[in-house]
Amino acid sequence: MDKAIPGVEVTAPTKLRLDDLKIGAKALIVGVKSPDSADLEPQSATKVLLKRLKDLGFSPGEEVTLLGRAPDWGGQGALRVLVGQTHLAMRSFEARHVVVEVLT
Amino acid sequence: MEKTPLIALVGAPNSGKTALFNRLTGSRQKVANYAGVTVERKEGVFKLENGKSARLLDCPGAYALEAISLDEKVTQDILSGSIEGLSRPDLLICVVDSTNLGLHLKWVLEVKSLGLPIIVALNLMDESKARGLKIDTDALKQHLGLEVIETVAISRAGIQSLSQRLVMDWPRPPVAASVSLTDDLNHQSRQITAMVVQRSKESLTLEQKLDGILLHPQLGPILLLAILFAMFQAVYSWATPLMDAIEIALGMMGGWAASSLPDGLFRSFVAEALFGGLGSVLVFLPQILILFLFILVLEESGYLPRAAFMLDGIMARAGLTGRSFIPLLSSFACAIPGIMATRSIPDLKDRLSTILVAPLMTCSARLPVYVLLIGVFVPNQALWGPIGLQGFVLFCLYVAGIVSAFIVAFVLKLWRGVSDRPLLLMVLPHYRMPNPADIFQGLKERAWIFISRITGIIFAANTLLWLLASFPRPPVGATRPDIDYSFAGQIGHALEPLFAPIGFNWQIVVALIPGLAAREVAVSALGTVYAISGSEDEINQSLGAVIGSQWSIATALSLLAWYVFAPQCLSTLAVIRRETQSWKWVGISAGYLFALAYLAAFITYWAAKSLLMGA
Repeated sequence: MDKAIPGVEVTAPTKLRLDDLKIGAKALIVGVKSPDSADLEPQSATKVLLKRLKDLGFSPGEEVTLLGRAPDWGGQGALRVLVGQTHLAMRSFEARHVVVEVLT
Repeated sequence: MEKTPLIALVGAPNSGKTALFNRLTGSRQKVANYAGVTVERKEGVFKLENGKSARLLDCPGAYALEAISLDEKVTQDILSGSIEGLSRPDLLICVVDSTNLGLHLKWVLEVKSLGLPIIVALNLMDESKARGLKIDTDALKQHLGLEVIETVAISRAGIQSLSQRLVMDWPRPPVAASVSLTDDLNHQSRQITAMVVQRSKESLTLEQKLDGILLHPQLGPILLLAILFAMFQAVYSWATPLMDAIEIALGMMGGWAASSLPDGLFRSFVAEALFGGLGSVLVFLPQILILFLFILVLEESGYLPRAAFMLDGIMARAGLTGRSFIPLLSSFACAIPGIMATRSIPDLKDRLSTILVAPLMTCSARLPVYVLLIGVFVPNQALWGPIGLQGFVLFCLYVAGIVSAFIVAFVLKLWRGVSDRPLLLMVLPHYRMPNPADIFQGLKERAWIFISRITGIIFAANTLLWLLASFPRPPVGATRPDIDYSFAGQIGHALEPLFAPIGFNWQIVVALIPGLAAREVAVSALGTVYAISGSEDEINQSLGAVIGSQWSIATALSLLAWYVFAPQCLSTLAVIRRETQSWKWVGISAGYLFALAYLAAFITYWAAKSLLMGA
C-alpha cells in the first residue's frame, strides 16, 4: 500500500488522450475507449477501431511513445507512435481513443 | 488411402509467412516489407523429409482470430474449417517476427485457444540479433508450451530443422487449449516477452535517426518527391541505350525477314503484325524494368508504408483510408493486384472507393504509350541541370493520375456522406536493406510477365487486328489504300466522327479497340495499322517516325490525356466484377473513366490547338 511522504504533495498523474502528447513524450496506457464527447462514428465503426487498437497492443499497462507527426496538409497529420516495440502510424481521431498517463 | 496432411502458415502481417511458404514449396509468391501483401490463400505442396508430401497453405496475415477485413476472414475461415472442400488444418506453423515478440506472441496465444497442433517459427532471427535482442528460445518453448524453431526464411536458416520437425510424430496430437480468449492476452504476451527477451543495446536508434530525416514534416515530403522524380528521370536516361539496342536488333531481324520471305500474306504478317506491331511494344522492356527496379527496392526497404504515413493527411481529406495506399501503390504495376489488395480494407465503402480510383494510378501497361508519345513529341532537352524535359513530362502524367484519383475519391466522399472516418492504424515495418538476389528475381519475373503478355494477349489481339486490317482484300481497280476496304478500316472510319472532336484520326480509333484487351496493345496496334496502311518507306520507318510526321502535337497531347484516364482493360473490369460481385460497379467504373478520358482529351486537344495557333 502506498504511503504519503511528509512534506511532499501527492498529485494524481494527468490523464490525457494519446494525441495530446508532445512529440517524444512517453506515457502509460490506462484505457482504450471512445472519447466521451461528440462521437460521430457509427457504433460498429467505433467497435472495430477499439478492437483493432487492442489487437495492436494498446492495452492498459503498456508503454507508448509519441514519435512524430506527419505533415498536416491543411488537416490533421497522422501520428507515429511506439506501443511496446510496435511502430505504428495512426490518425488523430484514432489516437483520441487511447487514454494515457504521462511518464516523461 | 493415407490422407495428405494439411499444414497452414499463420501469423500477424509481415512476419515472413510467404517467404517461408516460398522456401518450403519452391513457389515464387510476392513478398514485400509491408503488411497486407497476401490477401488470399495460396496453396503449395511441400515434400517432407520422409519422402511423403504435405499440402501447405499460406494464409493472409491477421492480428486476431476475429476478422475485421476480407483477407483476415480467409484466415479465420481456414482455422475454423468452414471453407467448403478444405478440411481444418492438421498443423499450424505460427510464424512470429522475433523483433517484435510482444505483438506476435499475442497471436500465438490466441491461436493456441483453438487446440490445433502448433509449431512456432521464430522468424527474422537475423534481424533480431542485429538489433541486439537476445531471445531465450528454450524459455519461450516452456512459457508457450509449444515447439519453437528459429528461422530466417529469406536465407533458408532453420528451414531444415523445421522440415525435420514436420516429419516427426505424424499425425500430431492437439495442444491443450490452455488459453481463453477472455484472458488479457496482451498482458500475457508482454509478460512472456519480458521473461525471454534481453535487449543488449537500444535497438531503434538507427531507425529513429532515419525516420527523423525521412519522415520529417517538411523535409520528408521533399525527399519523397525527389525519389519519385529520380525514378522517372531514370526511366528515360538509363533506358535509352538498351532501347536503341533492341530497336536495332529488331530492325535487322525485320529487314532480314522481309528480304528473305517470299512476297505474300505470310511476309505481310511477319513484317506488319510481328515486327511492326509486337516489336514496337518490346522496345519498352528496359523502361518497364527500370520502373520496377525502383518499386522493388522501395517495397523491400520498408519506406513505402512511411510514404503512406506522410501522405495520409491528403488521403484523409480525399476520404481515403490510409489502408488504401498499398492497393493504390500496387496499381502502379497493374490495377488487378491493386484491386485485390483492397480486401485488407475493413469498411465496405472505403474498399469500394479504393477499387473505383485504383485504375487511375498509372499502370505499367500505360508506360509504352506514354514513352512512345513523349519520345516523339517532347524535345529531348534539359529542363534544369540534369533534369530532362521528357522525364519531367512523364512525372507529370503520373502525378495527373494520382491527383485525379484523389479528386474522384473526394467526390465519392461527398456522395457517400462526410461522417465516415476511414481508419489508418498501420504497422510501420523495420527498414531493411534490399536483397540484390530478390530484386533480380523480381525483375526477372516482371520481364517474364511483360514478354508473356507480348506473346500472349498482345500477340492474339494484334493478330486479330492484322486479320481485320488485311481482309477483305480491296476490289479490282481500287483507288484508295488497301486498308480502307478492310473491316478495321471500315470500323475506324465509322467511329472517326465520334473521336474527331478530340483530335483522333481513324488509325488511332482502330488502335483503341484492341487496346481494351491490354493498354499497351494500342502501341502494337498502331504499329500494325500504320505498317499496313503505309507506303514501303513508311513500313521501314519506326512507329515513332511515322506518327511524328502524321500527327499534330495537339493530337499527341490529347491521346496522352486520354490514357491518363483510359477506360480499363477487360481484365481489370473482370476483377472489379469479381471483387464487388456486381455488374453495376463495373458499369460505373468503365463509364466514369470513359467520360473523364473523353473530357480530358477534348480539353487538352482544343487548349493545345488554341495555344499553338496563337503561338
